[in-house]
Amino acid sequence: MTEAELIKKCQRDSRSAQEELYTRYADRLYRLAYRYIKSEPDAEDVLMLAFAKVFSNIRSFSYRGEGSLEGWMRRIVVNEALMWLRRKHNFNMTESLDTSQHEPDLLAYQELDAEDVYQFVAQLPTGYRTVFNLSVIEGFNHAEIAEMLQISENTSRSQLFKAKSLLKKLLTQEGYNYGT
Amino acid sequence: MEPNTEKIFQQKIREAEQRPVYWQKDTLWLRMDMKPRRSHRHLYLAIAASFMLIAVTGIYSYRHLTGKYEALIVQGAAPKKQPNKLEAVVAPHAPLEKSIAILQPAEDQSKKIKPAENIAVTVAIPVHESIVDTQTASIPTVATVDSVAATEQTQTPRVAEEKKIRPIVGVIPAPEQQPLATHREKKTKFRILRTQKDESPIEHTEESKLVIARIN
Repeated sequence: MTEAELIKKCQRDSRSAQEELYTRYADRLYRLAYRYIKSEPDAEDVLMLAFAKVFSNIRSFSYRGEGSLEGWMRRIVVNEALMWLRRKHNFNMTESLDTSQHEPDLLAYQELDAEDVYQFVAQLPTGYRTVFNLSVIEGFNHAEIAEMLQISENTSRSQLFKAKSLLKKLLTQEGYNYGT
Repeated sequence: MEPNTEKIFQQKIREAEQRPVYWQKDTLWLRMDMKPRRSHRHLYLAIAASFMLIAVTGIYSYRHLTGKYEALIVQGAAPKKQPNKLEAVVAPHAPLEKSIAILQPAEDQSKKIKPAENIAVTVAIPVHESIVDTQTASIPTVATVDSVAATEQTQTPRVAEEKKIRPIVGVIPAPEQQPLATHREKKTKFRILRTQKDESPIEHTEESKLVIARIN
């Protein structure tokens, strides 16, 4: 069954199509949720809420080629994860930005395994990790991140800088040598 | 971090997310299956709308039929109720056997009829024939027949009674001017402040003069 057919069936509330959609994308979306939430049961809860939203709002989704469905579902999962995080975490609790420090050079990460990168990112504190995920992985700019997390743009920049610094430190501790 | 590095990170994370992972996938699906799939708001609305439609149609048709029936009554073309054969008045002058035959039910009711030995049959008799000495029982116009050797309906046939609508004649009394509530004269008067108006002028009678003189 193609993605377009699957969407059409889901729009007609076909339970089998919904199950097929879940089977196809649940793993990836679970990983995505876990990257933000860092707790298995909470990530499952977030994923469940996200899928409920997907099924209820799929009628309003217009298919725009391969990958558009996954992109749309990823946005829903990210939004659900951020809603969950906002309830648990205060993103405004951050230090002032120290501009005297140089940005760490993370080019050496090219040699890293994807799974290792995923695990290192997961080790970051919630605030850093969230901004890092939104900025580096999802590709949002600081204005968008500030709006999503209800923080200032400076806070977002600060969090990202600290996230990169901490990531470099973690990699050094684990024995990854990436230059200076 | 340079944009190129960010791209590498993005790719690696996405690559990691494509890999299979062990988690409670089936359990979560079952949990989702337990929950209602979609909101039942539309269903509720549809049920409410159909209810309303049925109610409105019912009320309309009831009023329509009632109106038609009333129109028929007004025109005097209301369908007359056919008299039941069992309720037919027995001809007073007819012989008893004949009148019993008249009282027998119609063919369609014959299946329900049970043979009975002692059946009381009430027959309407004219007044001049009913005033007969009770001892002259041999007269064929006896009002009650105790036993009839024939198939009869167990139910005693009723004598049809014509309903006569009699006008109610009465006298409407002229409305009297009655008080709405019983009023009783006030005997005692309580006054907090006494005004000049309340003070009755002293009557200068002989008695009062004596009293005043005694006081002075």
